[in-house]
Amino acid sequence: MSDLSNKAPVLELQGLYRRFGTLVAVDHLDLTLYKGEFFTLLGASGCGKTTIMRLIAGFDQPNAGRVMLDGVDVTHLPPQARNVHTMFQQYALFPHLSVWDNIAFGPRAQGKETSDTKRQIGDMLDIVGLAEKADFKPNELSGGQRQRVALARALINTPSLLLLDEPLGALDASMRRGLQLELKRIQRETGITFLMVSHDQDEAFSMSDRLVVLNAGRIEQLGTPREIYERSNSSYVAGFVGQANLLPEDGDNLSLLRPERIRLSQNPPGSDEEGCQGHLSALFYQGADWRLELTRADGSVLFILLNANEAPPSLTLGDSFWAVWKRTDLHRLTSGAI
Amino acid sequence: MTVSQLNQKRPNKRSFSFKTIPWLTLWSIGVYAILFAPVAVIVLFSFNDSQSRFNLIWHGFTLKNWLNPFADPTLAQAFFTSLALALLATCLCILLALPMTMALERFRIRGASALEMLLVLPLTLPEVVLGASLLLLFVQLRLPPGPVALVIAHTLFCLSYTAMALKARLGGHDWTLEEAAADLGAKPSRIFTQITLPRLAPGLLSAGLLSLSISMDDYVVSSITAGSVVTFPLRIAGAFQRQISPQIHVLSTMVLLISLVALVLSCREPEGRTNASTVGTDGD
Repeated sequence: MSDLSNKAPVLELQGLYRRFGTLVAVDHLDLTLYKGEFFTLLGASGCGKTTIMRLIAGFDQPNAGRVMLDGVDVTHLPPQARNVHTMFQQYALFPHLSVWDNIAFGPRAQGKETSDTKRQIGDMLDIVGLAEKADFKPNELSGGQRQRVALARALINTPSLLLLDEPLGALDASMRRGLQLELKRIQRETGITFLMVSHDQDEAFSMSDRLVVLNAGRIEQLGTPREIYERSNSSYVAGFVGQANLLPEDGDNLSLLRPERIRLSQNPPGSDEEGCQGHLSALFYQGADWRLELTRADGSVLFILLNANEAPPSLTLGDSFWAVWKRTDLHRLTSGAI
Repeated sequence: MTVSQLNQKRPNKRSFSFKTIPWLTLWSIGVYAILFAPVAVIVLFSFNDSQSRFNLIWHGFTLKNWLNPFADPTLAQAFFTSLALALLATCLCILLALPMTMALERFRIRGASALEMLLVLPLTLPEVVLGASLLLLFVQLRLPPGPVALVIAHTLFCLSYTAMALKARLGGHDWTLEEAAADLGAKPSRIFTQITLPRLAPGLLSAGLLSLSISMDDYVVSSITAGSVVTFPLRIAGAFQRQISPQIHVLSTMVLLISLVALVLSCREPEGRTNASTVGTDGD
């Protein structure tokens, strides 16, 4: 997604504003999504991400602002008139209909059922790997299979935009990894723009081309996963997307230092490096890596993530070490000083 | 759900058997015997080979009453009058109660709890009072006692029951299904007929049967508003002075069966609920 400028915008949110009583859920939000990208709204509970999704789908109306879809203002159109489909969090499959009839519901409802529809549904069942389950009822399927039916049902009408509400939230952790890859593959194959809502930064990072971190109805930061993780612009974003050491700089400024950028050493830092001395106050062995806490003389704590093959042969609580990092690994936060 | 699952659900419940607490077992048997004795007698005497005008003494088992349930023409007519009345009142009830309870469940309505209470309030009204006030109202409206008044009266007192039964069902209804259907492009009429109605069918059936059995059963309000119409309970009450034919027991057993089906259906766990509860909830 390096060159977005020559791609067509699929969705434009312009000054979107929604309030419930005195609570402002979406606060003058501007956002543009381009064709074929996998975009994520990432935020904690109550950040407004679900409200934004409902405004885009047409289940709710904004107090101000516009929703543009393929260049057309759809702000006040009902859900039926929008070429946007949703994959609901609990999938919302129709329990009394078979897998096939669930998927066929869209084309039938829109009066688009043709001789070709059967083939399309068959193809879609192949894409999601459920060809043998066409006659099953939703409650006869596993969580992962239901999710795929919901995906097939939402994709069959080839929407301009697919909304995914915490698509993996209802599944076991063990199934998620596989389904993340699956979703990503299907998105690439169909070329449809995906907009996912998530509170899980792992999920957002591994699947998204771009994402925004939302806080209190506002965009904290927009960027690629890498930009957001390595060049967070505020302490909120830095802390939300991973573990962060925020080191005070001159004045009120803070610098972000990710735990995995730090190495342990017996020697003080070299010329292009910085560092500090302390003793190990917590040790967590995690197989592939170590999670450590180094307490300095002034009492402040540094979080360190050491790859197993970079760790000193013996690590014991209370050991004294130098924590050392490259100066270039420090990222100065542009806002959000504590 | 198995017994062991039930026990796990309520770990504080003690195990119980005749051996540990014999007097409690006997007591319980006694209570249930008293509860069901009249019902048992009705069912039993519908099989009685009755010799006199009064079906009160056991003369032996026969199926002839069940083979000719409508042998008594006036009784049969009363039965069908009641059935027609009950069906009509039930249809009206559902037409009134369904949109009302759907609105109460689906939308955030100011004073919804007060509206709900008002809906149930007539249940607590003594039937005699309801009957008397209906008569007064009908007189004011210049509506004479008779079929029309009877249908209106039955619809009124069945409405509370129907609404309560429907509300209980709708409480477990997953409204995201309607949103999903709209999202896929279905018009409201299509959503209602293809998603809402099929999902509510068991609830509508049990609410309908409940209303049916309550209407079939009514004596007090009917006696005031019926005019010249003779319903099944009115006919039975009248007949008791002259004759108790075994057909009364047969037809009463039929009414009993309707009520039983209504009860079983309304106690059954709504289908699909377990499906929704197996997945966790999170999000904002």
